[in-house]
Formats: sequence, structure tokens, C-alpha cells
Amino acid sequence: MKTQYNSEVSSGFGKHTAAIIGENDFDSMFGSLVDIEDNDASQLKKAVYEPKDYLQGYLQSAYKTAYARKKVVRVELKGQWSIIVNPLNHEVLIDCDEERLRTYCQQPVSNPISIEPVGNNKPVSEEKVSQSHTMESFLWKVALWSSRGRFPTNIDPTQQVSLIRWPNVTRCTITPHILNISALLVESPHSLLQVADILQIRKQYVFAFFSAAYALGYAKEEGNKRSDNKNSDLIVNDSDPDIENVHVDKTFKRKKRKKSKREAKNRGKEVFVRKKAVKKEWRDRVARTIDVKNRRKGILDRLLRLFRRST
Amino acid sequence: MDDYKIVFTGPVGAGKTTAISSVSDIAPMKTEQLPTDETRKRKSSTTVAMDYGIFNVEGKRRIHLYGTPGQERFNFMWDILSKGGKGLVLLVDNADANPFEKMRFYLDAFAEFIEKTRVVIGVTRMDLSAYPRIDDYHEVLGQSGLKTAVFDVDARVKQDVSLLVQSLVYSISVGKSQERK
Repeated sequence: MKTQYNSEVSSGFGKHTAAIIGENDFDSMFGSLVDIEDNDASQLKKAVYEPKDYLQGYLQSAYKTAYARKKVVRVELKGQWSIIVNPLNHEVLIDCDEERLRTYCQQPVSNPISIEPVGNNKPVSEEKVSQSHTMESFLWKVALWSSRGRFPTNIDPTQQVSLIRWPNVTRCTITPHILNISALLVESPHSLLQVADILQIRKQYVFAFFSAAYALGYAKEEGNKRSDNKNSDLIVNDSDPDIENVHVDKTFKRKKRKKSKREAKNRGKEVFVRKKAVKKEWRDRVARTIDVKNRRKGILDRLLRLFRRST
Repeated sequence: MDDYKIVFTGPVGAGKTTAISSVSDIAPMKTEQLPTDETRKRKSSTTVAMDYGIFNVEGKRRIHLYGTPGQERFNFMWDILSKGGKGLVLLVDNADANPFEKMRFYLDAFAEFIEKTRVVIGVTRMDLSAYPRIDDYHEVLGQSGLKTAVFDVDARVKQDVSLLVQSLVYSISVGKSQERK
């Protein structure tokens, strides 16, 4: 059975509409891989991607930081686009058109992307925004774009995986066979290759779905306790240690280092000035002492001369 | 063609009649009357016996949709309507003062039926009240060991209701095939 949709409401990309990618649209949206033979390891290697090399990884880090610090965070490629992540109302604001962002998501990141808290001097309401999404639906979509029908590098497609929970399919991009893949993986664990085999569908559909579900922490590898994301509010998958704040920390740590250097420099200056003042004070004291000694000596000399004259 | 009987239930005003009307491929059968109790403060008509509609999925499956009355005084209809049902769609009004309490009440009332079949949950009116979030529903359901589909649903939108019903049908199919194994 194919999932049936109402085409009249399937075109929007709004926060409250599920966009639908049919089987015919899949290749044009995500690109196509030659379908993979189960036994051919070299083909499977081609179907792997590293989320942290793509915007997906940066976005996951930004979400994690935003939730952990309860602060609005901006992910930005200077002069190109910026994404505002607001964990307080679970919303993402973007100042770039969908098509450009999709193209960007499909390539590994080559230019430096900054992730930083939005300053207090500029309220979120003043940001230039062309679209808004829920955090969940946006990361889902970015993961689909980055995946392009591939699976994350730390996942073994022959190992069993399962779905911790159903994605909110009415509000996220719907990929081919999303409902039967979800139903199967919620019911019992299967490997990604088994899912494609049981449902008689292209592996790319399974890989794309899994990549998005995994990014949101809705899917896990069986026997991997780390990937069991219990904190549903922190919707970033914690299972991939490589992704942990790697990008965020780079930016924040760089700033922190700069700040501490600056502070150290300032501290050094202060110490130098203080030392100089102390030295001067000592010099003055010594000078004063010598002066007193000289004056005493002068008085003594004069007294001595007077005494000699009188005798 | 496979025939499925699906039951829609949930509290008064959750959108059961609207949902069946949105997704039905035939003119839905309704038994709406002017409310005589406190319900009239909320809506001008209420279901007193049942709603009925048919949803065809790609000409392969015919899904018969039965809607229960929301008012508890008509709960004798709940057992009657759920006989022979393959699954339950529970609609919960998110703008309600305590949606979790209502959800638990209906899950308890249909516990026997759910045990033998499958359930999916549609959270309606999230445009009016964004909280609790879908994550919160999963957390509450997880505490009672239920791993069911929970979707943000606008009962007026055919696609939303259609996805909810289809997710239930897929869950039922997968459940059946697992049992056969």
C-alpha cells in the first residue's frame, strides 16, 4: 500500500504543513545513488555520509547549545544566510530561501560557519526573517537534504535499529514510505537493509528516513545504550560523540581564549604598572634617606668645623 | 478489497465529527443534535449516537470510520461501536484545561479494545494551544509503556487525518505480520 496524500495541501513548506516528497520527486530533491547490492561492501561505502561535515552537524550542535544554555543561538555563514534557533518557543527563523539552503545542505561545509548566542542588544524580533519552522521539522529537513539517501557513517546497515518514537509526520517533510518504515521499526528492530527488503522499497528511502529520525534522536541502534535518547526535549542525538558541541565549542572556545588572553594582557599591564610604582616609591625612599643622611652629614661637618675654629 | 473498521473517539469538541467529514470519500453520516447540557456552552451541536464515513486508500483498502459520541452519558455506544474494530483513533483537544487527564481517561475506557488492536493519537487545536507539546505526550505515554503514533492534527485538514488513519492501518498490518511470524 502506498501512502495516500491530498496533493492540494502538499506543496507548502510552512510550519503547519507537511511537505511531501513522492517517489518521483525523491531523486530531484535528494539526488540518486545507484541502488545498492546487500553483499557489495564497496557500494555500501558510497551510501555513507558524516553528518558533522554538513550543515546538519552544525545545526545539531546549535540546538544542543541553545537548549543547554536556554539561549537564542545564531548559526551563520557571513554574507550568505543565517539561522536563528530559539529554544524558548522551539522555533527556527531563516533569512534565506529554501532552494539555496537545500543546495548548501547537500555539500560538505567548506566555509567557516559561526555559531554564537544572539546578543542582548538585538532582539530576535528585529532579525531579518524569510521563513520560520519548528526546530523539529527544520532539522528533519536539513538531515534529509544532507543525507541525500545515505546513512550516517557510525551506523552499520546490517545491524538492527529501531524507532524510539514515531516522528510527527503531519508536520515534517514526508519521504516515500515513511509510514510503513515507521510502523515496522516501532514494532520491532530490523537492520536498514532488512527494512528495504521486507517492504520491497529502495534502500535510499530507508537510509534518508533513518538519517532524519536519528538526527532527532527518534531512532537508535539496538544494543547501543548511548543512542537511547531519553531526553526528548533535547532533540539532538547524543549518541554520536564526534558531534558533541564540536562546532559550537570551537567558536565559543576561540572567543573564550581570546578573552582570557586579553584579560591576561590587561592583568600583565596592571602588574607592570604596579611594579613600576613600587620601584619608584623605593627609589624615592632611598633618595629621601640619602638626602637625610647627607643633610645630617652636612650638619655634623659644620658642627665639627665650628668646634675646630673655637678650639 | 480489504475492509477495515476504525473507531474515532475522544472528548467532546476534540474534532471527531470534523475529522471523519474531512477524510471521508462519501457524505458522512452524522447524528448531531442540539446539546442540552453544559456542552452547549462550547458548541452548537453534538454527536449523540455515532458518525460514519468511508475512506478509500488507493482502491485497495476501504476503511470504515466510526465516530463515538464524546459525552460520557452516551458511553454505552462506545462498546457497541468498537465491536469488530481493528484500531482506535483517539483525538485529544490540546486547548483543554487538562488534555493528559482526558487522554488517560479514554485510554482506560478503551483499554481492553486497545490491548487487542492498535491505537494512534491525534492532538487537535495545537494552533490555539501549543503546549503541551507532542514530546510531552510521548513522555506521558512512555510512562505507561505505550509506543504509539502521536501527531499534531488539524481535524479540518484531510491530509492530517489521512496520515493519522494510515499510520494506524500500517501499525495494524505490521502487528499482524509480526504475529504470524
